[in-house]
Amino acid sequence: MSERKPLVLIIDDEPQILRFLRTSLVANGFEVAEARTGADGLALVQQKTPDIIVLDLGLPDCDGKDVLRKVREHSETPVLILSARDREAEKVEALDLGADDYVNKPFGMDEFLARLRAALRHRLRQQGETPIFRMLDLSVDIPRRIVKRGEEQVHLTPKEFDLLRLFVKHVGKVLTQRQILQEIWGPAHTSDTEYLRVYIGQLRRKLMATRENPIIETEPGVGYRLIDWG
Amino acid sequence: MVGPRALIRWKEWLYPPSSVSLVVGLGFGISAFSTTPNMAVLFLAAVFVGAALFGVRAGIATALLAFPAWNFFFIEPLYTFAVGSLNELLTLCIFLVIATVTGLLAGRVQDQAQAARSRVAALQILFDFSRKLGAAATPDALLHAIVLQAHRLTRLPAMALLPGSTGLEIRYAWPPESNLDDSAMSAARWCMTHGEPAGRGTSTLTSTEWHFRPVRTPAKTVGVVGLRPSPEQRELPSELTSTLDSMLDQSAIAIERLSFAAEAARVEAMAATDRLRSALMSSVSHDLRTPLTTILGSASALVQGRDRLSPEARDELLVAIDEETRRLDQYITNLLNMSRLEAGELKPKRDWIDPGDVLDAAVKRVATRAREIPIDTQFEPGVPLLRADFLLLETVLVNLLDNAIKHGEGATRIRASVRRDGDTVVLEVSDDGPGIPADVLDRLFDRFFRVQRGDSKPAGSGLGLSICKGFVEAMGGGITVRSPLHDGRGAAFVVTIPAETQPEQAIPEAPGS
Repeated sequence: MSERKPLVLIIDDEPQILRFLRTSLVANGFEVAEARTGADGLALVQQKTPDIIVLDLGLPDCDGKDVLRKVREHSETPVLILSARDREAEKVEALDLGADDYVNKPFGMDEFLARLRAALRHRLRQQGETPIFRMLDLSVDIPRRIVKRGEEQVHLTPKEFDLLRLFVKHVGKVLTQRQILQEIWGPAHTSDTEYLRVYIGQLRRKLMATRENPIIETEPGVGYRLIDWG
Repeated sequence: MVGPRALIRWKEWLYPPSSVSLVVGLGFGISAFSTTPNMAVLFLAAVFVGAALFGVRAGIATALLAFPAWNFFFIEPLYTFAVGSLNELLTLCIFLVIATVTGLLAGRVQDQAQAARSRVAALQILFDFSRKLGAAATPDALLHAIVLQAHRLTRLPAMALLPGSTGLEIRYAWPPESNLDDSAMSAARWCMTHGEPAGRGTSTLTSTEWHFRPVRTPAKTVGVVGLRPSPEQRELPSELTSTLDSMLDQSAIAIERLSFAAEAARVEAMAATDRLRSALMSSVSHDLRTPLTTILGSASALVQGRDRLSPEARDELLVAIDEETRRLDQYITNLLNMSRLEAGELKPKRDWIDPGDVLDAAVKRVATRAREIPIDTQFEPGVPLLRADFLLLETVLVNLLDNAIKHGEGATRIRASVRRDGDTVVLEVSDDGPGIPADVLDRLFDRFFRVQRGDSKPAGSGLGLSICKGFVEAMGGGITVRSPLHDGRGAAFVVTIPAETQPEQAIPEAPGS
């Protein structure tokens, strides 16, 4: 990462939320740009090319999802969604549209910053798929299709491996059920969520996941994420 | 008593002898002064008239009487019945043919006229009936009309049965004491389940005294109408049943209309409840979550960034927590007030209060929120005391000031004033913000109504103004709004509360204190 402070563009219409986010982001070494409408936000995306966008889905002038759609037309800038716990459909839709992650309102600053940093990191990592992924004692050798926990090799079926590989590629990022099904089983199976549940269960078992470290975390009503231990 | 039909029959028998006598008399009368007229034509006229007026039988009777009369009085040899020529026999035949043909034709015309008359009568009944049906606003009124009309049409005891909680029930009967025995009841049930006539005069369950016809909509049988024919009537005349059926078809449509209306009303009520609920949900979700997000975010930022935060940043976060906690409190107060208003539990205290004090307190409460827009206050001297609830009135003013702050984009100042206007105290909060669109002014005080300005999202819960209205009215006052004020901008909310007779000064003010 360069010396430049990462620029966060916050698109939210609530002045009080903008205020505390700005204050604490600045204190945590970010630069902040603010927009209170979708139109202003899109203009700033063009002008300032932010490193990451924090987008509230309930905007005054338009649907936040439309902003997301327009951003994705010409940019891969990571987008962090602000939504509410009870609005799963909205979050899933935003993630399917290419949002990187979401935070439920109300949120603690630690969680928000962690998600923000993970999304930034994820983008950096995505520049090229690393042939060997290592996290804690988990290693995934992608070209040779070998998975190990510690020294012990984990034997995965081809589908299980593909699934793990997808998570590794998007470590730290929520993947919606739809995205995973589409990627692994193809577009005809995007609603066969029971496959997914079975395979996630098997994968967790084979990777010796525990309750404390499920390795693959369930995001209720949304999807799954490979926990990013940094 | 002699009915019209008997009268016709009586005239029918009187006509042939009298008409023939008349023709004979006429013939003699004319021949006394002039030559004997063509008597055949005169008798033919009598036959013709008889057949036309009284039918074939009267015509033939007239012909049979006319022929011997003509022969006896006017044909040589006079005063004998001897038939002299074939010609005369031919005349008799012609008389008879004319009598028959004319009588039949006249009879058909009469039958048609009779049929037309009874159709008119039936139509009249149907017409009256449909008017009554149209006017019936409840199923009960409708059944009442159906039974009475069926009775009027048939002159028979009538009743209507509808499915109730314990199966098919008699809902209306005329005469009212009519009742059904078991066999009649089972015929009624059969009629209801099969949608076909049953009972006497039908092909099903004929042993009962009652005749039942279904009231059918295209979709289903909605009820049954029963009639009790007199013991000698084996079945109802077909013109009666067809009139009855068209009546019942109309009834079915009316019953359906009523049930649609009831359904529509129910759906409408549910939709209204749903709208209210979803408005409340979105209001609670947004208005509670936004301050909570700010409070939690700011507090956690203070904890998390303990040593990184500059003193200014720390202050900023603390102020945010302070303000948003107050806002949250205000919102929860409003929600509770709303439910108190709703439950009818709101009983304003009636203390003597100084409206200026209330305004002062309200302005102080919103002061932190109004940092960007100054609030000008004007207290007119000599404003009377009010018998009102300090806290309620303060809530009203806080809500009004809050609105001015929240919605007064581009406003340069907010004015809050208290003055006297005759016997009332007027509290006014105005701003020079963008104002309120004219088309929403009258809905402004509705619960959960939020002004949507341009393409922007409505702000706030939509509770504030409806609470203001509820509170002010609970204290016997009123609240109105004016907008725009000048140059197409600004809005003013005016609260008026009647001032009662001022209290006696209990403690005389000590001079100089």
